[in-house]
Amino acid sequence: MKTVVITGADRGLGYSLCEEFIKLGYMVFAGQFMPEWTQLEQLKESYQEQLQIIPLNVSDFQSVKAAMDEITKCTDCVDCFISNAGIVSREKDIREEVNTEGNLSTFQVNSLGALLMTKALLPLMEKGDKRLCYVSSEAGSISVAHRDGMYGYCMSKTALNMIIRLLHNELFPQGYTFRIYHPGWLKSYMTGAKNEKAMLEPEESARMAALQFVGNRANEEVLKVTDVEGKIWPF
Amino acid sequence: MAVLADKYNMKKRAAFVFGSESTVCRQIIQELTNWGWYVYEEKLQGCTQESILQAAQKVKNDLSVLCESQENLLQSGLDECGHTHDPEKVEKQVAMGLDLLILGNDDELPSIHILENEAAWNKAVEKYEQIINKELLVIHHMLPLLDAGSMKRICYVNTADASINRCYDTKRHLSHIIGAARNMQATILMNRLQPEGYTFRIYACREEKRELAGCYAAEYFIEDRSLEPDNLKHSDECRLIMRDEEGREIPW
Ligand SMILES: NC(=O)c1ccc[n+]([C@@H]2O[C@H](COP(=O)([O-])OP(=O)(O)OC[C@H]3O[C@@H](n4cnc5c(N)ncnc54)[C@H](OP(=O)(O)O)[C@@H]3O)[C@@H](O)[C@H]2O)c1
Repeated sequence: MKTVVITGADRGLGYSLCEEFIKLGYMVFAGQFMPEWTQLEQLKESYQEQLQIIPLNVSDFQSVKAAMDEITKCTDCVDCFISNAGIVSREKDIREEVNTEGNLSTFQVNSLGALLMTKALLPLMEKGDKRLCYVSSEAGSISVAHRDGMYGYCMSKTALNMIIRLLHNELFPQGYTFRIYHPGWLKSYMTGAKNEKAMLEPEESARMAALQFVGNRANEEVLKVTDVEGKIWPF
Repeated sequence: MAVLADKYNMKKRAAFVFGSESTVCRQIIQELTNWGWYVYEEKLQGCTQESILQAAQKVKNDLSVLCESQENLLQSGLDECGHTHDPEKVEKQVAMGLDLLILGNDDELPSIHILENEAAWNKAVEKYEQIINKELLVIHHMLPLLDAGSMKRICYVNTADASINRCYDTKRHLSHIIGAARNMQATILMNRLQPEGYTFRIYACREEKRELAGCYAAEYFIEDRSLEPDNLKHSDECRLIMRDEEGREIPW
């Protein structure tokens, strides 16, 4: 059975990705950040053999280490890693205030968290499919940036894209392949409650994501950001 | 230098350079000073929210004293060299504001590879705080002074490797990650401030051209670019571009 590790799997896109990968027959290691949210536990009741819930805060060194110990107890091979965990910080206009704490926490979770997890998983991925997938965002694309605020979130996703480039520079020659995914505007929980104003249900986006994450491409050396429809976004 | 001053039709102007300890910024400061600019500076290392606030206050005080003394000179009918002139015909040289804000890069960034250990993680967070957050605070505090200046220009010194499209390096991770985030920061800022008349520059240092980087950057920062009404949509002042020493566009 193939294996996948998914971060930020409690709800939103991460949870729906767990469902998709279970359907695809994978053994799913789901990173649980909020044990009080019971969706994952309910899924586990139906898929005892295919779902392992792993407590995981991607921005905490010790938590990542403990998660790796848990995963290593169950398997010696991870085929696919999906870095999905993400947060957004509230911000006022630059003339009013700078949210220094928000800038740091988004960087720690959205950018460094992805890097830390990748680094930690590499020894387990050596024997597998070597597929690294990152949920980024159009908000990280400098070429088409249209916002006049949200510095913290946008910068963290741009930093993430650069991290992926650096990983690609180093790991593609070792056989790793990469996906960078913009999931669309999701009816998920980034702002605390489910955002009903958004365009897409996480399930729809996860379905398209899973296809892109497991499928192969003719030109794997080309690093690109793709959206739900497979359309390309510039850096 | 006199030729340059004529070339750019420069009045006496004022700049604030943040991150002034870097080699590139030292050169930029030298160039601007040679061209007759008033240059204020603040180091990146050890800078705090308090020191930024104090620096802004100092610039404000200094500029108002300068303005006042110039006003007096003009009223007296004498210029700075003691020559008589017609006060009506002399353009007041210093407005009570900053013309240029320059945000330098940290050329001492440690060469952190993929996070090896907790210490590397902590260093990455510390540097992000020190550069990204402090830069935003400098902008926040300097904006009222830039509003009052005549140029309204914000300039970033970055590196060509901050380009996600064309970074081939496998070593100086932290520098590239922070560099890319700074490019996003500049873009959002431009979206926000361009409608208020602000212009932006990002200078991409390349390792090969390090020695004279500051000279190229200073020239690039003060040059205006075409703003023909017919071509406004594609004008260089309406889209943010990172340029190297030869003025070549570096993709994001
Ligand atoms: N929503 C959109 O429109 C949109 C658009 C573009 C890109 N994205 C990206 O899509 C990804 C998934 O977001 P989503 O929309 O599904 O949001 P979501 O519903 O908030 O899901 C993200 C999950 O990650 C968890 N998380 C937060 N901090 C974490 C940490 N330190 N370690 C591990 N998990 C953590 C969240 O927990 P909490 O709920 O407790 O924070 C949540 O369960 C994110 O990377 C986001 O940036 C979203």
